[in-house]
Amino acid sequence: MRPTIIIAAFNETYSIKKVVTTLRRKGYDDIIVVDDGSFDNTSEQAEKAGAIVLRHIINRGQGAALKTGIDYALLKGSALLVTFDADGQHNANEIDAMITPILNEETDITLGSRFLGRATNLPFLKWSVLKIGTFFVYLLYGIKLTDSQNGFRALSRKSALQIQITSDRMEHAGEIIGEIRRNKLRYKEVPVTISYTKYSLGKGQKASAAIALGIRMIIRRFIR
Amino acid sequence: MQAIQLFFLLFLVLIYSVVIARFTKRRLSPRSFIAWSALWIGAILVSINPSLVSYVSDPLGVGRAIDFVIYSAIVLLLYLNFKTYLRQDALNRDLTKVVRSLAIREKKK
Repeated sequence: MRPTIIIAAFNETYSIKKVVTTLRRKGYDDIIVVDDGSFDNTSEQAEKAGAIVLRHIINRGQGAALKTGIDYALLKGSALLVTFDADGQHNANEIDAMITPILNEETDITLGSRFLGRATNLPFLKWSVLKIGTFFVYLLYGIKLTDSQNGFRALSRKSALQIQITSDRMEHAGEIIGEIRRNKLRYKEVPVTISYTKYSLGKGQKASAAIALGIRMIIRRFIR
Repeated sequence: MQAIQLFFLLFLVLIYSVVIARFTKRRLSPRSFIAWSALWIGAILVSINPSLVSYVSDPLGVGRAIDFVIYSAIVLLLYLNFKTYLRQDALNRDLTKVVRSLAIREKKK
């Protein structure tokens, strides 16, 4: 089954072409890039590399962009969806490991985990914030994971239809976990490699934003 | 009556008249109207006779009535702040729905 790769991108003109090209070279040619209101050439680069590009006219956040991509993929009849980062942190070689458990009907959704797998050049501060975030998701939703903030996921059509993402920004990661629980979906963490570079670290969330994020997660947990 | 009481009284009556006007023009729900009326009428009565506050503050064990007024004001402000945040959040999500609709529509063309 041909997986649809969904990539949310905001000002990723530097990396998007390489990410899409690499995916296509590995045989994944069903790629949807959602340009979340970039003010650089992200759309053009993605399109030139061979992706289907949807464009948010203004920036709404990764959660919003992902949902747009998922909705469109489902509209087009996609039966297998994979969410993938635009900044080159994810490894296209690992998509197979992510989709196999779903194709084997072992699980409804696979969640990439850098802590089960590998995270190269992971700064201590970010490591701490990720660990705290994952624990926080456990407190809010009762699901124990090793890495809840990982954007590398694979979903069956059924799970994608059931999971409702209402968060616009980074709290969508926790919300997805909550949706897994609400819909009683089977989930499985799969080891993946996250390669941090100066570029991708620069694009990551600031530790200082974590507190506001935490509050938004709490509110989202109780008010939807 | 002190000058400041009169000043506050006039100010509060003015505000409340706006509340009434909004309600009669149907720009305010009955629920909100009752809630706001309770607040502003309460404030008007207290400005006329400040010692009224002690009827509420004494049973609650608050020493000075004015302390109670301040505590209540803070709680009210926090609550209103939170409601405003929720409204903004809902607005944000509606905006995203519009942006999403545009993005998908553009693609369908």
